[in-house]
Amino acid sequence: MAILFIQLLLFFLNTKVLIKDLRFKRVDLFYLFVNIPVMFVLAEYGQLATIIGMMGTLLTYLLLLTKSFKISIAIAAIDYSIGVLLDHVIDIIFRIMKLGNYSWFYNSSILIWGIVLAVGLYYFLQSDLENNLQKDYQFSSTEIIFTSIMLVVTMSLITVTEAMNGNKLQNVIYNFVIVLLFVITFIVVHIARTKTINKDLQLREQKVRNESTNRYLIQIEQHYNELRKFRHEYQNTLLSLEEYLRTDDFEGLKKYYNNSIKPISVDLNQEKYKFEDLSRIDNKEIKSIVFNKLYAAQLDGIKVSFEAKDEIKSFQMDSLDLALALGIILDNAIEETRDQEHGTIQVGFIKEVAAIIIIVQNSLIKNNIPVWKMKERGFSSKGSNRGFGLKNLSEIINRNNRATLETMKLNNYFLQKITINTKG
Amino acid sequence: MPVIDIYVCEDDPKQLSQVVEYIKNYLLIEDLDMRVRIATDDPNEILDYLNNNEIDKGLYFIDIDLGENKINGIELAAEIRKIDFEGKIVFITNHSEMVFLTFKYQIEALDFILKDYPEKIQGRIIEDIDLCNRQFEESASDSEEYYQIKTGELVRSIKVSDILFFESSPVPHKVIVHLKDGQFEFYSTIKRIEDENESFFRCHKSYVVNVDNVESVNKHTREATMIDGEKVLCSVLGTRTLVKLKK
Repeated sequence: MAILFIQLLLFFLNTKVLIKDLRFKRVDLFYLFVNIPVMFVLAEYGQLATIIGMMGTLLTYLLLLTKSFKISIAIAAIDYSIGVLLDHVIDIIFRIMKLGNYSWFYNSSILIWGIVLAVGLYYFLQSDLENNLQKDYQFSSTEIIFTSIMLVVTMSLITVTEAMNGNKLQNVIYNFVIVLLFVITFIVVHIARTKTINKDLQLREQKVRNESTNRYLIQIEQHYNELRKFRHEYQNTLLSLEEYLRTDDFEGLKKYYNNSIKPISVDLNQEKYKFEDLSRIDNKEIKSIVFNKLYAAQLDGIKVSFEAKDEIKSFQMDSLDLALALGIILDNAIEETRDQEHGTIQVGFIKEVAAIIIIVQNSLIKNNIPVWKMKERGFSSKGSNRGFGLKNLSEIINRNNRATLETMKLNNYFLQKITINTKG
Repeated sequence: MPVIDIYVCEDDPKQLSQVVEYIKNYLLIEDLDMRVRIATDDPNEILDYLNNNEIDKGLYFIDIDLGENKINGIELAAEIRKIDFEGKIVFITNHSEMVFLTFKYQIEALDFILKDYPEKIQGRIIEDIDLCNRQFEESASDSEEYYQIKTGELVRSIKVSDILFFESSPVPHKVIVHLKDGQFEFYSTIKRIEDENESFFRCHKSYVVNVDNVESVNKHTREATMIDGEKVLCSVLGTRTLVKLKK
C-alpha cells in the first residue's frame, strides 16, 4: 500500500511541475480527498482495477485543474510514462541485484528517484520550453491528443499484461526496453521538429527582411528620380533668372517668381521626404521596423512623420528587443489611428548626451479611459485586441535594465516613449 | 513684476533685424515690461551672457541653422535649458528643419515659427510674447506643490496633485509613477520616495500612494482604490493606517 501512496504522490508532483504552477490550489484537495481514497479502495480489487482506476481519477483531477482535455491527456501521458519507466528501472535493478525482500528500501528508492526526476523536469521546463512554447513550435491539438492517447493506452497495456503474467523479470525487462525506445523516439522527433521549425522561421525572417529592403530601395529610387527632376528644373530656373536679370526685366522677374518659383518651394514643403531622416538610424532592424510600420500606416491613409536630427549608431540595448518593442508600440498606434478621419502618427528618435529617446505619438479620439485600463491585457476600445501587446511590451522593457517606458494620454494624443540610458 | 529679457539668435542679418523690429514694435505699442537683451548671430554670445550674469526671466527666439562651424539651434536651446530652466524658447525654422517631437519633448519649446510663411511671422511673434507673459504670470501666482523626477537629462516637475501612486518595477531600482494622465518609469527606489513628500504613504512593500488621491480603502480585500479607479494592494498594517489617514 505504501508504494501506491508514493506513486500517487509522484503523479501529483509531476503534474504540478508540468503545469508550471507549484502553488496549492483548491482543486488539489480533490486529489487528496477523492483520488487517493478511491485508489486505496480500488487497490483491494487487484492490479488491473488499480491501473484503470488510476488513469480515470488522474484524468478527472487534471480536467478539473486545467479545464482542457488536450493538456490533461498530455500531462496524464507524461506522468504515466515517467511513472512506468521509473517503476520498471527500479524493479529491474532490485531483481537483478536480488534486493527484492526489502520493501521499504524499494519504496524509498522509488520516492527519492521520483523526486529527483521531478526536480530535473522542473529545471528542464524552466530553461528550455520558454522558447519552444512560442506558437510556431506548438503541436496541433489533434497531434497532441492522438499521441497522448496512444501513449496512455500503450503504457496501460504494458502494465496490465505484466500484471496478468505475474510480473516476470524477463517480461519487465522486455517492456522496459520498449517503453524506453518509445520515449527516445519521441525526444528525437521533437528535436528534429524543433530544428526544422527553426530553419523555417529563419527563412521566413530573411524573406521579410528582403522584402522590406526592397521596399526601402524602391522609395529611395523614387526620391532619386524626383531629385533628378528637381535638379533639371533648378538649372532651367537659373537660366530664366539670368535672362530676366540680363534684360533688367524686373516686372517680368517678379511675375516669374510668383508664378513659377513660389509654387515649387511650396511643393518642397510637402511631406514627400518624410522618411529621409531614417538614414540617420544606423541599425538595420530598427530602421526596417520603423520604415515598414510607417509605410503600412501610410497606405492605410494615416499621416505619418519621422524625425531624427542626430546620427544614432548604437542603441546600447538588445536591438531585437527594441525592434519588438517598437513593433508593438507602432502596431498600437496604427490600430488606434486607422479608423480616424485625420489620423496622425509621429515618430522621433532623439539623442541626448546620456540617453536615447524614442517617441511615438498618435492622435486619439477623445475618451475617458484611463491609461492603466488601456494597458490591461486584451482591453479593447473598439472590439479589437488593442492593448494586448502592451503587457508584452512591459516584459520586453523589464528585461532591458537600461530602458524605461512612458505611456501618457494627453488631450488629443497618445504618447509612448522609450528612454534608453546610454551612460555607463 | 520683474523684467523679461528677450534673446534672439539668427544667422541671417536681414531676418535677424526683421525679427528684432517686430518684437521692439510690439513692446513699444503695448508698453510691456520686456526688453531685447541680446540680438546676435553668434550662439556663444547668448551662452556667455547667461553664464556670467544674474539672469531674469527669459524668452528666446532661436533659428535652427546657425551657420557652419557653430552649434545648431537645438543644441543651443539644450544648453540654455541647462542654465535657464524656466526660460521660454521659440524656434524660428523652415519646414525642412522641422523636428516637431524634438522641439516639444526635448526642449519643451513654447512654440515654433515657420519661415516658409513670411506673412505670418509677425503675428506669431506677438502671440508668443503674450503667451510667454501669461505663463510667467501664472507660474508666479501658482501655489501648486511640485515633485521633481529626473528622466534622462530632463528634470520633470510634476504636480503632486497629479500623482496617484508609485509602484516598484520587477527590475531593481526602477519605479513606475502613475499619474492622472499616464505612467512612466524612472530610476529610484520605493523606500527613497516614501519620505520625499508628506502626502506619500507606503501602504505596501511595493507601493507608495498619494493619500490625497485615494478614493476609498477596502478593509476586507486590502485594496485602495485611486480616484481614476485603479486598485493598489495594501499590507495589513498599511490598510489600517491608510483608513486612519483618510478620516
